[in-house]
Amino acid sequence: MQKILEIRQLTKHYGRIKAVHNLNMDVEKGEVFGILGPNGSGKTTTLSIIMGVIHQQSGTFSWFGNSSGGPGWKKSVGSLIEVPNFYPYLSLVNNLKIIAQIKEVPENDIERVLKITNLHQRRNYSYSTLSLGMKQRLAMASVLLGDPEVMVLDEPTNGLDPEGIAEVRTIIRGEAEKGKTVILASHILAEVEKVCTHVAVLKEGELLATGRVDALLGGDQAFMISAPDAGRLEELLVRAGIAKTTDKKGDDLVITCEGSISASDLNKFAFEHDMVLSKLLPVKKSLESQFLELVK
Amino acid sequence: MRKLLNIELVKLLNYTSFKVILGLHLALFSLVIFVSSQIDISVPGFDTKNFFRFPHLWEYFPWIASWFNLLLAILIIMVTGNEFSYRTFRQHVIDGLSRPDLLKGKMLVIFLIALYSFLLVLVTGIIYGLIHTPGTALIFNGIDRLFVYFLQTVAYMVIGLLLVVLLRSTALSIIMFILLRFPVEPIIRSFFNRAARPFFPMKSVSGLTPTPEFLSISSESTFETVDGGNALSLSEMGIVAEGLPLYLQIILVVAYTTLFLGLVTYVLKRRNL
Repeated sequence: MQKILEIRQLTKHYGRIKAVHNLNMDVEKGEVFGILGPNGSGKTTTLSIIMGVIHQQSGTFSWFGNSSGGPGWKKSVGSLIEVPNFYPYLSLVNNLKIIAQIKEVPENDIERVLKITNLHQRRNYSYSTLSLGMKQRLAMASVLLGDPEVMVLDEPTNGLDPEGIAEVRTIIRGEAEKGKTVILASHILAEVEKVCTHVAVLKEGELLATGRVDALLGGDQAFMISAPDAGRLEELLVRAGIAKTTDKKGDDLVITCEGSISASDLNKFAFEHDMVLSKLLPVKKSLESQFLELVK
Repeated sequence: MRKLLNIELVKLLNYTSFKVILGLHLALFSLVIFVSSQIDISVPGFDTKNFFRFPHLWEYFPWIASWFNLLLAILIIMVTGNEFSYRTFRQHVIDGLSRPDLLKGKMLVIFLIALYSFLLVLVTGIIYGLIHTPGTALIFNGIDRLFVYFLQTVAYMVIGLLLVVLLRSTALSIIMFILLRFPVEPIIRSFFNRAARPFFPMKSVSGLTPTPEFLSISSESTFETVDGGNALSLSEMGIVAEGLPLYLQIILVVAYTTLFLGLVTYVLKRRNL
């Protein structure tokens, strides 16, 4: 797999605050890479450093296997960092013309991206007249200009209504299906879970976990079980080392086991100990629960 | 460079304040020239129309134009200040411009504005000169003053650029520019001896278009002092302070402009956007 982005020991402190601390991260071609973290975890700082607007204190990063990114590497990267930054007095088309000039993209591509983001009707409106959601859409349009190989998106659904959020999600998925690489920073976990293949979790500038989303969600397996003698069942499961943790929820018991334990294994275990399970439900772990566990 | 020029043109030509200030500059300069051309004091040996005749107008017109350099400096402060307040410098770097490109873009704007004011003075000068000068043989005699004026406008705008890059605020930079030009630098200068005063940045830049020798220009005769000097020279009479020789002033202003551009480059490179 071709490495798109490689970050090594990246550090940026603001006084005593560790915005980013010894961060290591790799993004490979075709990945939809989510960067998760609570507010102030260093997501935006990391993206600002790799896009060259903030200087790091130490550490390195390289785009496309080249420490300088190679000549004109930014033409291959479309970015939206924090809030959209445009000239309020210029029309949408003129704002995009400036970006098209910078990226050396033919101006007819402006029409294409305006159509994708449903802004074509407002192409001659001034930017200052747009709603927050429309401004965000224009930022998405600027990211898509020139059909970049990589998209770097920092909270791209900020300010969007549910319909807009779904549209952005569709755009991201569409680009990923075309084999594009997407780096997406967000604190909306459901969003990341829906679109990302890989994820990195940051807290206070440090990397807590990274890997495939399914691997992160895999590992331990949780079940909700119920039996006439729940107390005895809990004791047996713990003693046998099957249940790693237990949690009583009313008459039910939520247990977590190794990933290799299946529902039929649990049923068989109960039967072998003369117990009948009246309820046996696998509990799907969400990225949210995993994230909250990590950042606790 | 062409790419940067196209980018700057999209920004400038659609910016109303830019057009208004440039229009104001044009109107004020044309008005002052027109009104002063209407003053007609003509007695034997003395004629105010000499200011509108070649070659004297190349001394008078740039001097009048220099009064309005403040507007040009405000213009560059505004267009650069916008980049900070809209965070578009940051966005340009994200999209692919290098930090030196940001400065190159603004230098292009400075040269464009300076070129506009150069052409304005040139065209106005030629028109008035042709109207008022009997014969056209001396049109370009003394026109080098106009190139000095070009250098002056560039230098003023570079000072404005430096202030706005340091302060990142349009309003604050305009106030600082005005304060620096009028009370601050003159007060600081007053603590130094007379010989050192012309070496200050604002003084050396403004000294490029010195007050014309009104009496000498208006007079149709030359009056020499006993030591061979000009008896009608305002500086020799002590009315206007004597400046440095022009060549030294040019070297000084070029040196200051280079230094300020170096500072702007350093600040833009080192700072987070």
